[in-house]
Amino acid sequence: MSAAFALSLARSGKKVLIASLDPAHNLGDVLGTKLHDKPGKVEANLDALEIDLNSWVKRYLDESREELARTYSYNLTLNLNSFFDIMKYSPGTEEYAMLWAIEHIRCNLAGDYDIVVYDTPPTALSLRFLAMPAISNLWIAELTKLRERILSKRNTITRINPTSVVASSCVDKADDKIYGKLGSIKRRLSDLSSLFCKESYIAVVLNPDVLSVSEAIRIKEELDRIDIPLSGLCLNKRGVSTTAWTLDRSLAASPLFEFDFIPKGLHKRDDLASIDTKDLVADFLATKS
Amino acid sequence: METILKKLRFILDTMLQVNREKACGILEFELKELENIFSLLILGGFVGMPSPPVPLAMELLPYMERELTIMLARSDMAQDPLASLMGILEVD
Amino acid sequence: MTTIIALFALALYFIFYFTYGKTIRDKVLKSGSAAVAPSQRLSDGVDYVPTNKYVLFGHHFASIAGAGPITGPAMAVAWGWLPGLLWIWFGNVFLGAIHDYLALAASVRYDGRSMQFVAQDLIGKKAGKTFAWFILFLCILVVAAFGDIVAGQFAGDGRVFFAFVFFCVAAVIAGFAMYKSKLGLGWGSLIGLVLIIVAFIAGNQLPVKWSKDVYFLIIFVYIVLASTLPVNLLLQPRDYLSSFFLYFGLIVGGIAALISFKSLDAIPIFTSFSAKLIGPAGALQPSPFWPTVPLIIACGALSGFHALVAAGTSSKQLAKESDAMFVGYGAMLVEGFLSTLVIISIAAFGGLALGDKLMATPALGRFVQSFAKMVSTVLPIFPMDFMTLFAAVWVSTFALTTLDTTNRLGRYIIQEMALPMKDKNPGAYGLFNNKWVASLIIAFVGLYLARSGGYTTLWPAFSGANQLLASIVMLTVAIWVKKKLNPKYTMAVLIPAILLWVTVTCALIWYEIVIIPVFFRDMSKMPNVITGSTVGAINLFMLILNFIMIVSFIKNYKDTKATA
Repeated sequence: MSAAFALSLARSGKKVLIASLDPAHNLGDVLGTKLHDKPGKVEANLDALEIDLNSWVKRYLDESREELARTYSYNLTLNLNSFFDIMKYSPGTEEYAMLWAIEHIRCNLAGDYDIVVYDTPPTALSLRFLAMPAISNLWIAELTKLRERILSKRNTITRINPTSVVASSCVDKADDKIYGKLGSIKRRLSDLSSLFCKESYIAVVLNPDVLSVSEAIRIKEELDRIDIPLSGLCLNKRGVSTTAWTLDRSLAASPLFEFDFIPKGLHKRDDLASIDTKDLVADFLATKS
Repeated sequence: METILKKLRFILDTMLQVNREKACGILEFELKELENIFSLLILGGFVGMPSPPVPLAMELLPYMERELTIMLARSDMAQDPLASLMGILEVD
Repeated sequence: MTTIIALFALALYFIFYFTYGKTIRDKVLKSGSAAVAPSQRLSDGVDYVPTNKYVLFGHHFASIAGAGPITGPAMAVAWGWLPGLLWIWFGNVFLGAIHDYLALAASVRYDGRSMQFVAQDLIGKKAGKTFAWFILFLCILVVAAFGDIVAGQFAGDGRVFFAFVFFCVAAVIAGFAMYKSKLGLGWGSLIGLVLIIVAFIAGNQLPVKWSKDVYFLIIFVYIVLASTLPVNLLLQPRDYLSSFFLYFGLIVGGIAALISFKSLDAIPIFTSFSAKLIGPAGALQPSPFWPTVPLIIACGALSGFHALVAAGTSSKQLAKESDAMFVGYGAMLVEGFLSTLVIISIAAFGGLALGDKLMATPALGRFVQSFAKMVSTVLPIFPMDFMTLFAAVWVSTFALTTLDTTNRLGRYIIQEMALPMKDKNPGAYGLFNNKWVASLIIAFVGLYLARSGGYTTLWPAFSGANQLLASIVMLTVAIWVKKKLNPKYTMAVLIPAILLWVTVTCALIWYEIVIIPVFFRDMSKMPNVITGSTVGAINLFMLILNFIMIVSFIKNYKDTKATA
């Protein structure tokens, strides 16, 4: 779906980058090119890349390890290697790696293109990383408040008793690395949050069956909860079966775009053109402006 | 004469220092507890507590040397806190 | 004469400090060749911080000095002024100061661990549980004893209440000045001191005549509320400002006693061996000096609390083990001197202050009036009016701070002890775990006992618990000397420890069979019956724990092979 959309935009003259966040990496097959971690040219206005989540996780952990090595005294770095191997399995690392990958694309690559299309991973992972900034922000806000309280108490004590042991730690917001780090994490997360909530067009693809509709409803509820607007619904493979189904009322608020089932399947890139994405593209360009 | 003055100076300095510590004793105790809580909140994820996601903790970890020390000291104290509490709380 | 007595006390303490104290340090502890203190070895910039011994002394002394060293001796003058003094002097140098000193040293050798831990290691697991129970009872009993004393003080002198209230306000304001504003410690302290004077003037102008019951209610509300406030609001600044009271009181009292030359004629040197001291108000029973003296004079001679305080923060901050003599032994001797001043002031100036009503006045009032008379007579620059208010607020502040902190502590202990109930009885656990419930339990039980028992019953109960704790510590330390130090000197510690244990146990048994039954004489008086049952039960429970402990001690003592 996203491939068709991106292709259509590209062929209408826009410079487009399509990024696959899906670990299953079907995008390359559909586009007929092998994709890598860096943008590769597919055709005239269309570049594509697929994120290697594992390498992002590793990159993220390596950065942290280097910073640790720089900051910590010699003794503490001795056991770091094996420790980090365990780290990569911890819950939450994948979502964060995803976020930083998106951030990297946005900050470093998006400038070269008019539009960036993201082919998202399956629902579960997508909802998790979309919700991450909102969830984390509350934690960061509370931790920041607690940190301010700590710094202010240290300040009070040091002012009164300059020889206290507390004096050797940081008392000033401007000097406190932890406070600064909390602030920078907060900024990164707000930027991403703003990207998801205000600067994106989010479309959910569903199939014409009851199960798919239920999933779509759940997605909408989740997105509502984290204040991300659902911009469009793409009903894919219309006509693939004759089983009755209905579109739930709660989904009625978003514009619906229907795409017929293509019996012979999609084998090469040009087949994508047979999917009529005119309305979807028009709606997207309208909201973009 | 000079030694007497020096001794007086020493006594005065000591008294002032005792004074300063008296003015902050309970506050310092409270501060250590806050720092301990802060560390637990951030690093709790490493020991299975539902804490900020581990990646966030990872980013803050390089700067948390003092916090880690306090956390270790406090986890020791938590086994046997009565003594420290009696000391700081002026029960007698 | 006051001067001679005061000088004698100072001389006695000095001599024992430099002889007995030194012997302990050099022969028993061998501090000169001891390992590096934990404050240096385990230095972490958090709790283990080597501190200058003079600063640590001030800190330690301020922690152990409270209203205790004043109340007990003020009551003890009923035996005459000499018996109490003898206990304050010799009980202190042979028991109290040694107890503090060795507890501190033991804790240092155990890497700054608490007395509970040390006792558990040397006597057995039961010792640990016993400590927790004792401290819980101590919290309730101290609320009861001090509650009655303070309520009596407020009711006796109408000016004290508002002086105290305004003092609290002064503390809050000074707290803002010192901690929140840019004014800093110097200006904040000055503001605090000025406001204290204002508080005294205001209190003087606003005497109130309320009944003791009203004060009980106020104290109840105060205990529950104050212990929930953040510490920087009231507790910390008030604690800081009240240390000025202590310094001032000690210094002017000391000077006045030393230069007064007044003879001690307000009270006989010795009245009777079994003077009437202990019991419900109006039904005081003849109390034999031995064994009941530890039930009256606790802090000032010997106090179990001190061991807990010493092993709490002080042991982790001693720069080297040899400093323990100055901090542990020395601080206790200074407290002994404070108690000496109390007795001197009452014995010399009590008559001038209160005339015939001296022994009829409650103990604290006795001290306040006599102390004020002594200072205002010898140093006329301090008028009587001011000194009585000062002394009253001084002791009330320390007592009320203790009420606040014991509530906090007691709350925690209740929650800890309720833990085993978590699985078996989750409803009850949930109830006890609630901080308000725990707080109310301590405040309510304590003040109920205070109201119907009176301090003449409850102070001895509190003292008894305190002294039992001290005797457990002494026994622990005796085993420590035998097992870990030098068995040659075991007897030097064991004999006083055993004598103490026997004395305190006999005292508490005496209390149970002589004092408690008085409450049941008139079964129609419900409050008396309830009080008698509660205090009797607590006392009995402590005695039982005590016997379990001694059995554990004997077993452990016999089992061990001495390791030098």
